[in-house]
Amino acid sequence: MLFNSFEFLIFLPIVLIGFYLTTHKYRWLWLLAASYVFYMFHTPELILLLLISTVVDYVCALQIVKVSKTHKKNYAILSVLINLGMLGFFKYFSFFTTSVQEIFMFFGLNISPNETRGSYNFNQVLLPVGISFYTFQTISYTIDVYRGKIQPEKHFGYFALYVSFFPQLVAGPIERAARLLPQLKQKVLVNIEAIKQGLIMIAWGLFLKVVVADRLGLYVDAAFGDPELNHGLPLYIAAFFFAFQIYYDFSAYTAIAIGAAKTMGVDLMQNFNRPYFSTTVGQFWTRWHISLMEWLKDYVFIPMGGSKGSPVNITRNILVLFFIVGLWHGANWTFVVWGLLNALLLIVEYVTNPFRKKLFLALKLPQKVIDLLGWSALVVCLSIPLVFFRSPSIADALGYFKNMGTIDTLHINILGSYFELGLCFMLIIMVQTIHYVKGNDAIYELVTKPSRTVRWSIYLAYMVVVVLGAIHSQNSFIYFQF
Amino acid sequence: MGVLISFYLAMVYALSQGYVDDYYKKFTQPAGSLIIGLSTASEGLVPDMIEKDLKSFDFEGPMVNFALDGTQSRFGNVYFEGIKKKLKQTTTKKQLFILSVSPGSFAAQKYSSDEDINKMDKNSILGKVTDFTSNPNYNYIINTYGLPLYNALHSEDQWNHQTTHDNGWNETQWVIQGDTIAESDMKYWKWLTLRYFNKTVKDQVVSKYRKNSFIELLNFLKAKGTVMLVRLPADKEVLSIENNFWPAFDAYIEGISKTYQVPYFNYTYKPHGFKTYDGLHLESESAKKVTKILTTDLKDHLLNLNNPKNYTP
Repeated sequence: MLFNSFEFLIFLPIVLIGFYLTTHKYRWLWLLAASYVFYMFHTPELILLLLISTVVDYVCALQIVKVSKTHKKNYAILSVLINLGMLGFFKYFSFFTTSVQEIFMFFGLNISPNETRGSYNFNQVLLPVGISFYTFQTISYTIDVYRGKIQPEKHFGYFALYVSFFPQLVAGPIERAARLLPQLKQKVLVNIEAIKQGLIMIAWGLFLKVVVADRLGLYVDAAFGDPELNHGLPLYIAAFFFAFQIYYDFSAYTAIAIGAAKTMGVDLMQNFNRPYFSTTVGQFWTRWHISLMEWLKDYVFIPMGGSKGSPVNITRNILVLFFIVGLWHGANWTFVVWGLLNALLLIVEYVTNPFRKKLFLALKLPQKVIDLLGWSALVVCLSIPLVFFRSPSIADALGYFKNMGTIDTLHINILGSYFELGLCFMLIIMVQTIHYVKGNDAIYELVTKPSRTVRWSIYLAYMVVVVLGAIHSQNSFIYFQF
Repeated sequence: MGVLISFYLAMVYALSQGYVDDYYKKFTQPAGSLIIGLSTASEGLVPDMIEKDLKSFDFEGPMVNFALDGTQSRFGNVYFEGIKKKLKQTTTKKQLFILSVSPGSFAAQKYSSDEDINKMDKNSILGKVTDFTSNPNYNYIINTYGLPLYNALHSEDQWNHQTTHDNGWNETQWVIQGDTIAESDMKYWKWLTLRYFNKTVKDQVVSKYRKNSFIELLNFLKAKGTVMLVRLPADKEVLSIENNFWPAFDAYIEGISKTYQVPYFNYTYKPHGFKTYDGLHLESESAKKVTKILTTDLKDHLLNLNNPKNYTP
């Protein structure tokens, strides 16, 4: 079920009313049922994988605390293997087989599927929505139990709810059990203020998605869809727009997730912290998709040694980390290249840090100027790897860069509407200003603090803007595909 | 919430009174007879001319041009179901169906299973809409209109050379109120058409699924009235790409014509005098010319004067 769909508009109030009408003892059951209905809405059979992950990790965690020290590790490894196995098969198997085919083709051997021979094509394997999120969430649970950080959850219902809680099931945030489970178990009384804040967050997310992100997406799709035709300046604009489209699209989803959870008394973790106001690449990656980066830091980067040790080891750790970041986002070499380019940016930033410090000191540049330079460089540096992220193949991405270099016209109005183009820029400035002032998660203060007249004017203006300005053609959230 | 929904529906209604898109008017009436096919038929066949010229045969009206384009209305289950929902319920067996065929109508992505093709087709307008006959058609606009609804507040800037008629015909006029489409524009659009065709054709194959669906459709329509097949003219470069994609296409359709006893009029052999504005789509006067030739041929066929023939000017 999509957050920006008519079905969700009906679903959420029903779940909310049912939640508060149900006694605390059975609320977990109501929410669990709702979460499964949410997940099964379009493809019911995919629930099997969610159930497998749930049962495996529930059992493994319980066993970890029961068995001897030597066997604890086996259960932790079993949980990781099964979850990563499911993820590997459903998300990466066709990528793997296609890559193998391409290697064989390079050496002149054609082993690609033939339509008339009827050989099985692994591209037909369905990618279950949310699998990258819930498998990581359950792996973190088992490892935390293994490490002794938390005790295993004995109530299967609450554990199943932790795995499948619908606001964060399909696109995060990737919650830790220590944070989410206690909230799911606590008794929640009707809190009008929390419900109001949650609804405002949902409304903000909807605005970000259908008015802003999807609008930017029209220009981006037109440019990336035919870079040869739209060469030159439009491609620069599209790359710039895409950097914001993906941010607004993902933070819209997160806002709706956080808002929906808030209406039920659950505080999900923040997933973005004004990332585009970062002044260094390192800072950016502590503010973007925070739950994923924290997960990778705790379960991959630090166990490998993190940022301790020799420069060679640190470089290796950063490359491995961002290789995984890239691959997590999608089964395509473009995502891997995107990840590795970001790693390269981090490494270059790290290596040149002493030099840059000396330079700024010598030039006696004020901190604000340094920050502005850093911010400008960051926006440019982040947009370049994102071309790989957005392109369907490396060849397409390289073709995009090549066509960027062909500036033989000033025609940038590739959608045929200067009004829409201007609106895109205005909306970016507006949203960034709001994010700068409030951040994504305190948007409701902009609405709840003013007087009643102002508040109702805002509600009315919101209604007019969303109804008249929404783009309906884009539909699904970008991060649903991960 | 009620206010929001009412405002939204009011805007949808306001939009429906102006220009929505090139296809909307194909979904605003039940049809007695249909023109079926891709965008070449959407622009190349004039329903009211057919109705007028064949009035004496008393076919069920109204005739609606229900041809969309290459991404929306290739032969398949989705288009078939749409046609079923589009038709008036009648038992007269006097409905007329003009099926415009081309290799593109049978094309699908390589390595796609029947299920894949059906799934892709369901993402089209025909897959998203469930109401094919209401006016205004809220279902159509709510499910398919992708642009902002503020377009309802000003007359949408449809290209002034193009008119979408109430019977579904998309008319493109070369000359309108003294404004002529520039030759350079038409040359550029033709270049775009050929570029698109050359690029697309590499990843497409002739689909068994689409061929099977075409036969199913043919049998369904034959039970309801008169069916005829037509291949519309286009520029030679476009026809060359189509014929290279499926060299046996004409032979296949001729075989279908004989087996199912439906006439096939192939107007691609000598397209002299027909003008396209982009290599593929007929401009208004040429569309009327072709439609006139078609109705003449169809009249002949129906009166049993001649056997179905290839057109020669």
